[in-house]
Amino acid sequence: MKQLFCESGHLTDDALQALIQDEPLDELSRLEIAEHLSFCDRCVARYAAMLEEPVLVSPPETLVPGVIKRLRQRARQVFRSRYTTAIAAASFALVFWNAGLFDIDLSSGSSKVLDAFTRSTISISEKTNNFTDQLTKELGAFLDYFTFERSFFHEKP
Amino acid sequence: MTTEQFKILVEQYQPLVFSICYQLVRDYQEAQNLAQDTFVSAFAHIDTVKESNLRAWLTRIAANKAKDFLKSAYNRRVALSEDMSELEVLREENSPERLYISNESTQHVQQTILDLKEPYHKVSVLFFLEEKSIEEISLALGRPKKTVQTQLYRAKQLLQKLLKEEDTQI
Repeated sequence: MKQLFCESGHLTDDALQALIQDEPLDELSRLEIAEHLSFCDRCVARYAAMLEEPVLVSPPETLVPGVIKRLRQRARQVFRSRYTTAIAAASFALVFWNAGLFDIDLSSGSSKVLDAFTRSTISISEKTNNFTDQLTKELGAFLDYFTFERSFFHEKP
Repeated sequence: MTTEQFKILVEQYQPLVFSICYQLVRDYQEAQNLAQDTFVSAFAHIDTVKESNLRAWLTRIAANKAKDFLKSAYNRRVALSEDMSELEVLREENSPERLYISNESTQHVQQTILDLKEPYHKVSVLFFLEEKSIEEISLALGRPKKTVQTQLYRAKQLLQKLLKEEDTQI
């Protein structure tokens, strides 16, 4: 059986060649090799250097459309997540304001004024929710045509 | 990097990334999926990498993706426990396992540990024979702690299997 690791704990040339030449390697062996490559710079460099034509295999179809599609999906998810957070924060602010946490004294008038204010706050909240739902749908459609260079991935510090 | 530049980069490096994923997982469909994941992960930090390091950097990401896939599949089949207390028991003074080691051919068990091949040899010697902690082993060998833990569990299974086989032969 091939020795996959030398005494120093690094991958042997045999191990890397077995990978490259599609020689029989069981699942555990390939897992051990992958684990080692995940942290060893030296073996990654050796492996990368061995991966030149003609050993390289092209995928059955180009990866570009699939990659772009996934990046757009991720950008939409991030945008929606941030948008939802902002709306939630604004809604909480309205609720806290209504509950008097911001020290706005509404009780100097009659209780009718307070009731009217509470009803209007609830109405505003419902209308805001409807508006944001509609906006989220429209933005989702817009993002399908949105180039994602300016998404959060590329936000410079 | 613009979208168009990134597309060109994907076209340029897709044979490399796909080859790595395929060589490790040995499945065309999954290799394609993992290769796409590799580029998606790379996109976020692509501007921070020098062109001279790009090849090795993509190799590392692809190997990581393949490792995560293989580890998930392997753990589903083998159901490794992540409970460190099982290993600690082996080092306790009065544990049954320790008594076994001290009462029965200590040298034989130690030799079995010493005969283990890498990547289990060094971690086993340091843990079972030199009683180092996971953290110390991780630092000494330059391996992540999680990798050390995983290797120790596999080493333990291997040792149990080897010692059992030898007992059966006797």
